[in-house]
Amino acid sequence: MINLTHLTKRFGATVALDDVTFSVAPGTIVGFLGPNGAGKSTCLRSLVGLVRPDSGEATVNGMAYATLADPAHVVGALLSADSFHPGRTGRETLRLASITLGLPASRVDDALDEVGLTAAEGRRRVGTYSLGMRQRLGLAHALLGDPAALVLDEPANGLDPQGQRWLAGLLRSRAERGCAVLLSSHDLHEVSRLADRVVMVARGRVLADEPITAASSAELEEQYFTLTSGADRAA
Amino acid sequence: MTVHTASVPAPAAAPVRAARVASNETSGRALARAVAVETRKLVNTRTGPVLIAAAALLSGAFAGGRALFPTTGTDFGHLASMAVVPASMISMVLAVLLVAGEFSARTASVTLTLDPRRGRLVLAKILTVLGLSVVATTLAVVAAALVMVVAPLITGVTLAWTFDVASLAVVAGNGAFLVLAGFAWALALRNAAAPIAFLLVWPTVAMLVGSISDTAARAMAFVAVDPLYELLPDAAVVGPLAVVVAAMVWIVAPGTVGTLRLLRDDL
Repeated sequence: MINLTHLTKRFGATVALDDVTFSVAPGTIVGFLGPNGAGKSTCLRSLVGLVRPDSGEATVNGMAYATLADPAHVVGALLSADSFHPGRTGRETLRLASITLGLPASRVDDALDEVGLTAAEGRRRVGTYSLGMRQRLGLAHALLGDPAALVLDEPANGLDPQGQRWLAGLLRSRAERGCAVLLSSHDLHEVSRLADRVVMVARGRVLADEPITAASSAELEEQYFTLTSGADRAA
Repeated sequence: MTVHTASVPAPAAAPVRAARVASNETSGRALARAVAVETRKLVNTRTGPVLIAAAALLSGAFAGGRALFPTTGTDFGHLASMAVVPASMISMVLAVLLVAGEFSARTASVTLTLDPRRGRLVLAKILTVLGLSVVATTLAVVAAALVMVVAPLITGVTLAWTFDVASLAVVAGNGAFLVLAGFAWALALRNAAAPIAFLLVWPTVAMLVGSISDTAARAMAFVAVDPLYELLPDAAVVGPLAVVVAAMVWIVAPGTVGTLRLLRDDL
C-alpha cells in the first residue's frame, strides 16, 4: 500500500532523509518513531508530495501521490493541526475539502460526528479551538474521503486521555477495515499498544523496522533510547 | 524486538481502493472544483465580507460624489468609471489575500495535500481572481446605475444614460490588470502587506515622478498599474507598447517567479 524506497533528502548541508526504506501494508498500523529532527515529518511530507526527495521514491499503490487521480480519497493525511485557517469555521474547513474531493455537504457532518466535534463546535472558528479540537478537526479532514491509507503526524498531541483512547479505537477500527495507517508519534506507550510494526528513525536513517508482537511498552522504550541515544536535534 | 539495520518488507498486497491515474476528464472536474473552493475562500472568513461591503460602499460613494457635483457632460459612463475604481482596488486586496493567506496561515500544505497538482492551484486562483474582477466591475456598474436613479432626487439634475464603451472597457481592464498584479506579486513574495501597500501607493508615486518632466511622464507610463489608458488615443502618453511593458513588470515577471517557486519548493 505505502512504500518508501531509498528515500533521500537534503536541506542544504543537513541530511533529512538518508536512504529511508519501509512499507505499510493494508490493515496494519505502523508506528513511526524518532526524536525531534529525525526526519519523520519530512518523510510523511514526501509521501504526499509536499517535499520532493532528491532520490528514491514514495508511492501509494505503486504510484506517486501526485499522479493519483483522487489522491485524498486514497490517502488521508494529518500533518499539522496548525495548518487550518484560524478565521474559518471548522465546518467550513471541511466543506472546502469536501468540495475538492467531490463529496456532498452531508459528509462534513458525518466526519465532524465521527471525530466527536458537535455541530456547535463545527460552527466555531478554528482560531478559537483548543489543540485537541484542532487535532480532531485534522482527523476529520483526513477521514473525509474515506481513504484506504492514513498518514498521521502526532495525532494524539493535545488530546486528553479520553481523546487518546478514542483515537486508538478509531485507528484500530480503521485498520481492521483494511486501512494502512502510518502513525508518527513521540508516545512510545501509545505506539506499543496500537501498532503492528514499528519503524524507528534518527538523523534521517531507519534504525529499526520490526513487527511488534509481545513487546511491552518498557521494552520499546528501552530499544528506542538505545537506538536514538545522542540523535536528538532541534526539529 | 531486535536491533538491526532496516529490513525491507515485500510490497503490500492489493489495496482496499484501486488507485486511478489522472485523466483529462478528471482534471477538468478537479479544476472546476478548485475554482469553486478558491471562490469560497474569498468570502468564508470575516475579512472577505467586510472588504466586499467596503467595496460596495466606496463604489456608491465614488459614483455618488460624481453625481452630486456633476460637471458639464457628466453621464452614466463617468459615474460607472468612478464606481469601478474602489471596487478594483478592493478586489486586488482580496486577490492578494487569497494567495498570501495560503502561506501566512500555513494552509498551503493542506490545500496541496488535498490536490497536489500545484499548477492547477495556480490556474484556479487566476481564474478565481479574474472572475472576482468581472463580478466586482459589474456590481460597481450596477451601483452607478442606482446612483443615477437616486441622485436626481437630491440634486434635481438628471444625468444622461450615455457612456463611452471604450473608456468603460479600459477602466474595467485596468481593474483586471490591478487584480492580476496583486495576485502575481503575492505569489512571488508570499506576503500580503507589501504587494497591497506597493500597489496602492504606486499610482501616487508614478504621478509625482511623472510630473517632473515629459521624459519622466513617458517613463512612468511604462510602469503604470493602470496601463490600459494607453490604448485610448486621447489619454495615451506612449501608446500600446506601455501595456506590454507594464504587464511584464507587474504580472508576467512576478507571476512567473512565484509560480516557479511554488512548483519547485518544498512545503
